[in-house]
Parts: sequence; structure tokens; C-alpha cells
Amino acid sequence: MKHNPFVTNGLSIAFGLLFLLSLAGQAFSGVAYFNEGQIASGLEEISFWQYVTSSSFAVDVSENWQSEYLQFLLFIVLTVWLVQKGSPESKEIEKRGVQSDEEELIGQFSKNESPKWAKAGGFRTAIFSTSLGLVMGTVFVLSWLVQSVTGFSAFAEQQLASLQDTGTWAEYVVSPEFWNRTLQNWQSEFLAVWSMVILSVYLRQRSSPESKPVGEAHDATGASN
Amino acid sequence: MTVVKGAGRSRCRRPRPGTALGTAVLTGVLLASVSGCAGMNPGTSEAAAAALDFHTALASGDYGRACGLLIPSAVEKVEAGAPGTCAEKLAQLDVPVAATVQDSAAYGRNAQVVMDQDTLFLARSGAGWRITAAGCTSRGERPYDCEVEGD
Repeated sequence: MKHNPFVTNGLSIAFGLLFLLSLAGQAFSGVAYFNEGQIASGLEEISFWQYVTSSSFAVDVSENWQSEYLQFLLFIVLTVWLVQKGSPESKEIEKRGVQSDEEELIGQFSKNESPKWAKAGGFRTAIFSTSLGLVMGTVFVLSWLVQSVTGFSAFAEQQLASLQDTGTWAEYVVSPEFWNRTLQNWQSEFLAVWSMVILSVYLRQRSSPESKPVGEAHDATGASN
Repeated sequence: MTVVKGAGRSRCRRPRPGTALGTAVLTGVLLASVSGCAGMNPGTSEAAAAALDFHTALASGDYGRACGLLIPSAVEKVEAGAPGTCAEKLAQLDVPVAATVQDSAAYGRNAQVVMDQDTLFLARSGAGWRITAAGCTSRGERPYDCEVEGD
């Protein structure tokens, strides 16, 4: 039965819109906040375009992106081997570790509708088999690098406004400012994963794929709607 | 709070490679553009020119023009206290006259210019730069001590 594409892609459309709206909201509130500081210092206000192309905005965006992608990278990779009894976020206890080719439907065990690189074997299947972690990891590394560059630029700008020397990028990436920004993001991401892993053992959300069925036992691992 | 993808068995919940790839491309573009801007430090040479202009005005005794290159709050501070215009009071301050720029760096809307006899701090004003502090002496980790200073 054919469904409307807006129905079959509803989840990505909804979160895509939420992302765009909240990014826009961050930009508008950010330029207002920045200009409050400018007025207080007797300096000129800047335009919306000047703000969204500034290092201040870029570091505020990238520091959040890098921690989200690190969260996904670690969660995707660690759940291959680590399990949590009773959590729908976990594989069944007996399935911890790397699954067989037969279970993963690759090579000779692939089906007609399997992706091309799952059937191909060799290097292509090896890459495709880890493509999710590779892309998450790449986006994490790139956005953390962007955070370091834009963070240094924003930090340097503040230093100069306070009549202090800027230091260098190499000094910045081992500075308390950089690591404070990084770790305050990491702690919330890891808390979110931990909360979800544990709370989903004992709590339910009817009909959500993130939850076990309401009547499923607390110690049923890997079950979901 | 972050939405965390479940590690359950339904294949429908895996993100499509195109979505993650698109995000990677977007990040790469952001990296290239921001890194490029940060690397070039736009405004560095203009800030250096403004600092040199200020010291040229001081050296020639044109304190009125030098005051015109200060940000408004710096002018207010110079004029504060005893009666007198900015130009009259600037002439009495101990700002060493400098002739050559040794180093200059601009980040966003702020800049620092190190000259042979002076260090100055500047902020963007319209299309140009204005002096926020001059006659500055380093105090290590603490802010510079400056003869002329705005807010």
C-alpha cells in the first residue's frame, strides 16, 4: 500500500523543521543578546547577517553539534558490545558482540533487496558495515575542529575587548575555556543516554518505538514497540 | 534533553545514510568557510592603518584628529574630571609616540596593534576602526594598563 511521502518521512520532516526553527531562534536571540553587550560597551550594534557569520554564533552552534555526534558515535559503537538488562536501548544479553554475516544479511546471506554494498563483499561491504559510525565520527571530529577554530576566534575577540592578549590556537585547545565548553556539552549528552537507557527499563510510553510494550516485563531486554 | 535512537531490532529506525552524509557535507562547508575567515583575520591591515593614523596625528600635534579616532566612551573618559576638551587633555597624557607597526591581529570586531613604542586596542566602527585604548603596557595575565581607555 502506497503512503503519502509526507507520512512515510514524517519523523525526519518534523525534526528537520524543529532543527531549522530552533537554529533560527538561536540566531535571533543571539544577535539581540550580542547587541545588548555592544550597547553596554558604547559600541555599534551589528546586523543579523553580521552575527550569523561571526565566530560567536559559529562556536555556539558547533559546540552543540560536536557533542551530539559524539553521543551518537559512542552510543552506536558501544551498544555493539555493552548491554543493559531490561532496556529497549540494548541488544539481548546473548547477542552482545559482533553478529555473524548470516545475521547481518551480508555477502552470500544478503537478500535481493539488500543494499548493493551489503552484497558486494570485500572492502565495500567492510566500509558499508561501519558507515554509520564512520559518518557520525567524521561529523564529530569536523564539528569539534570547527568549535576549536571559531571558539578561539570568539575567545580572542573577548580578550581584546578586555584589553588582554589573545594567545594562540594551540594554547586555546588546552585552555580551561575550550575544555569547559566541551565538557559542559559532553556531560549533558552522556546523562541523556544514561537516563534513556535506565528509565526505559522501568517506564513505558505506549506505542513509542523508544519504549517496550506497556505490558512487557522490566527484565525483557531489547524489546520495543 | 537529547532524543536518543533506540538500539532495537526495527530496521525502520536506522537513519538513512543520505541524511548523515548531508550533515557531513554541511559541516565541511561550515568548516571551510569559518576556518577560512578565521585564518585570514579580516580587518587586520585596516586596524593597523587606523593605529598608525592615530600616532601620526599625535606626532604632528593634531590632537583633535587623534581624538576623532577614539571611540566615544574613550573621548568621554579623557574629558572627564577637570575642564578641557579631549584634544587639550590628550596632549597632556603620557602616550608614547610610535612610528611603525610590528604586529597586528583582528578577531571579529576587536583588534590589537603592537607598534614600536605602543600597544593599542581597537574596535570596529562603521566601515572602519576606532581606538578603544592606547598607551598600553602589558601586565602579564592581567588586562593592559592604558593611558587612554574607553569602556
